[in-house]
Amino acid sequence: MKKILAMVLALALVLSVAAATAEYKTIEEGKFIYATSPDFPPFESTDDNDNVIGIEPDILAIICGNLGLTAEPYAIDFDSALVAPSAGKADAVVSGVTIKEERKSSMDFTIPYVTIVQGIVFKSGADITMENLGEKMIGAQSGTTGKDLAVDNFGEEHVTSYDKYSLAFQALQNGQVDCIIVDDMVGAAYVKQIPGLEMFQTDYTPENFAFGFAKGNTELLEAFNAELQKLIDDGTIEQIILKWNE
Amino acid sequence: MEQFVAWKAMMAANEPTTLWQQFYVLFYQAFIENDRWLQYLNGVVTTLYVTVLALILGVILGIIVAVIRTAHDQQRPGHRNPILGFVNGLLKIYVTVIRGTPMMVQLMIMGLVIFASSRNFVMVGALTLGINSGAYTAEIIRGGLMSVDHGQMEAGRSLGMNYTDTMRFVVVPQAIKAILPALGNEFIVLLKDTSLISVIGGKELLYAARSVASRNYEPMYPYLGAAIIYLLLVMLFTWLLGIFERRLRASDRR
Repeated sequence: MKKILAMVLALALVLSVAAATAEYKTIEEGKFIYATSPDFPPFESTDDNDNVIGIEPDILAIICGNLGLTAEPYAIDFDSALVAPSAGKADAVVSGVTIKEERKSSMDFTIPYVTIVQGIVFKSGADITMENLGEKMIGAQSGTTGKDLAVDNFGEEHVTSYDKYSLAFQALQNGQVDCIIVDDMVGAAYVKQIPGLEMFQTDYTPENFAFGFAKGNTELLEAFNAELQKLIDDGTIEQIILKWNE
Repeated sequence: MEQFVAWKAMMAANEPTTLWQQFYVLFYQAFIENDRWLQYLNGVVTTLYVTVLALILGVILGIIVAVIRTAHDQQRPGHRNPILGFVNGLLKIYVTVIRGTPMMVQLMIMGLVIFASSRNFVMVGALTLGINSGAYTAEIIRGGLMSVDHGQMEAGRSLGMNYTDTMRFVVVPQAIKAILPALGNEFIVLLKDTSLISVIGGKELLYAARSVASRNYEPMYPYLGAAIIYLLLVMLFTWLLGIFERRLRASDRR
């Protein structure tokens, strides 16, 4: 009797381990480590206990829950977050990443789940329009599409980039930069938090956000895409975005 | 150029490429494409500019602080000058505060609080580094001045030279020789610390490397490139200091 019990237990143990490992390949078993720059509300920011919160952590929590993984943030500056998957430091970069042709050589994108445009945030009353942007000093976070756009259109000498958007907004309040180019939803979140700021949307091409996976992890990517599609179809994503934009 | 475009497309499509092709593409996009080497060059110019400004400021501050503090410490017992004592106290606070707080924190405070309205990030950076370096240099120079034997000063004074002359012709030349290696150390640290000013928006060498890395999503070549440039600059610096040291030693043994 004891022998049979022991054998059953051993079998159960083997099976359970096999069930856990067979699913998806991640850097740390059972964990989904995502690189993120948590100064990007409402997509991701930190609360007082240094937990990463926001739209993307919420979406990840649902998807990873369904896939039997635990989502774990790896907080780092944005430009470093972008290269974290290809450097093998994270399974994916989840930090409001725009799908961009140049980025496809270093990561595999999921399907897009939200569309944004670039916005310009400035101090209320300042004379900033789309036309005179080229004469101003534009602040941005290094590595962002907004910074690249500003550099391409107005040249390196009209752009100052910072490690974090929080620093860039500090510089804007100080008057060290005239305006900040940032994704409109994020800009709106900062405008809500910091009094005396305004924003307008630019007429640059709208951009799609997705998660950027380390290249070659097709199984995980496809599973993610399927889950993401479900959440888009049943309106969960929209609800989450609405909730965080309140 | 055509090679670069073709090979890059091959790499993006996950086609097999040779190591040489990968190296060529990554190197080309990190340094040559769109004249990116110009960004590094501008960065190096800024780095050197900041280093030189901070060095001059640091040495001037260091000498002033060291001379006053040494003068205070070497007073005859019972003949204390109260003004000197007060200034010495102030300088001690300066040295303590600057040595007791991290360079990065000082830069953040200077860049975003004290000079909150300044857009000349490079100058703010040079000023901060200079003030920082001054505190360390002061202690190095003070150590040098204190290390010269008391008898040297006494001998000079007894030959009829006044305090300033004895300092200038007897004490300082001996002190400089003793502190040169330590001073060289401080200069090298200063040169490398200029990389910190990128946090307040100063566009030096590291800023350029980060900028390129975030354009290509490939950090290895830009950062390695920056590291090699820093290394070359420091080696150049060390070499120059070595020459200077040898010149000063020329009359040591005869």
